[in-house]
Amino acid sequence: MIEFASSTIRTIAGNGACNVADGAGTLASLYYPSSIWVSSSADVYFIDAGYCKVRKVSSSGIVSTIGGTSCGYTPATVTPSSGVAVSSAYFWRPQAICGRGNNFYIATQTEQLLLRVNIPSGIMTRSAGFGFTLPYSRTDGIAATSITFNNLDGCYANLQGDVMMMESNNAVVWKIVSPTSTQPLLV
Amino acid sequence: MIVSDGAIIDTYVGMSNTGCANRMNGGPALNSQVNVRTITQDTSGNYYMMGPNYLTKMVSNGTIYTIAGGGSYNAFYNGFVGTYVNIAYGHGVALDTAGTIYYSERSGYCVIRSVNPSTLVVNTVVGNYGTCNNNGDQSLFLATLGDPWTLQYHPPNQLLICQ
Repeated sequence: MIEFASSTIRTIAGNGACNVADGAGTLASLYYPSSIWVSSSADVYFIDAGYCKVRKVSSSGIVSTIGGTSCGYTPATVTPSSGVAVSSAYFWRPQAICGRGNNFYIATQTEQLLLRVNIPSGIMTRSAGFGFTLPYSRTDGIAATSITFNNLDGCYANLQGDVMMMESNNAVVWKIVSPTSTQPLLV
Repeated sequence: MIVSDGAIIDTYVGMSNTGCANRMNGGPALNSQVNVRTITQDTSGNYYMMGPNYLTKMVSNGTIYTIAGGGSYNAFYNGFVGTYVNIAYGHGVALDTAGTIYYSERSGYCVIRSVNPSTLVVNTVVGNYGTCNNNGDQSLFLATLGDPWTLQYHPPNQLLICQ
C-alpha cells in the first residue's frame, strides 16, 4: 500500500512465502493475489488466485479466508437461487473481485460466472453467466444469467449499482443493466 | 436492493475480436476494439478503462478517448503526455479524489504510473522500470515492485496494490 502522506510503501498482507496461512497481515501468506476491492468499512477483499480463494484483510490488519475451500467446481453455484454460502464454495479459477455497498462480486474465469456475495450473510448468488458450457454466446438484451462468457476475467461495480464485466477473449465489456432506473440501486 | 442478479445484459464497450482497427479516440465505445482489464469511475460518471496497451476514458455519451498509450516512450521515461507514452502489460487502474489516475504495468515492467488529470502528463509513482522484485517497505523513491496487478484507492491518501 502506498502511503502518500509519508511517500512510503508498506506491506499490509503477505510474508513473501507462497501459501495460505491466515493471521496478522505480514505473518499471513498469500499465493498469487490477483485482484482487490476495498469496502467502505476499509476491509480489503482479495482474490488469492493460486489456491482459488477469496480472502480478506480486515481494517485491523488480520488476514482471513472468506471462501474457496480448494480449487474445484461447485455445480450448485450454477443454480441462480442456490444460496450457497461462500465459506463452503469451491472456485475453479476466481480471477477478479469488485464490490459496492454490502455486496461483492467474484468473476470466475473457468466457470464463466459472476457470483454476488452478500457480505453480512455470506450467501452467494449467481448474477451473470450460464456456466461452463459451449457454445459461447454473445447476445445483447437477454438475462445476464443466460450468457455463456468466453474468459470472464474482470468486473467493476459502478456508482449506479450496475456491474460491468470484462470478457477478455471477446475483447468486450458487458454491463448488467438495472431493470428499472427508478429503483434504488444500492443496498 | 440488488438489481443486477440475472438482469438484462448489454454490450457496453467493444465489438468483439473482429480484427477491426483500434478506434479509441473520439469514437463510440461500442465500435472500439479494446481489451479491458480493469475499470474505475469518477463521480461525474466517466469510466477509466485499463487494457494491456491503452488507458482509455469513456464519457457518459459512450465516446471513448485515449488517455495514455500508443506512443513510444515507455515507463523508463517520465514527463510525457499520455499519448506519447508506451504501455506494456497494463492492468490496474484507480482514481484518487483529486482526479489523478493511477495505473499499473505488470510483468517485466513493474511500475505504478500517475496521470495528471489536467495536463495528462504521465510519471512513475513507484517502481523501477524493468526491476520486478519486491524490495520491502520503504520510500517510494527506492521501492521496487513484484508484479503489480489491480489497484484500489482508499481515501484520503492511500493506494492499495495487489502484487
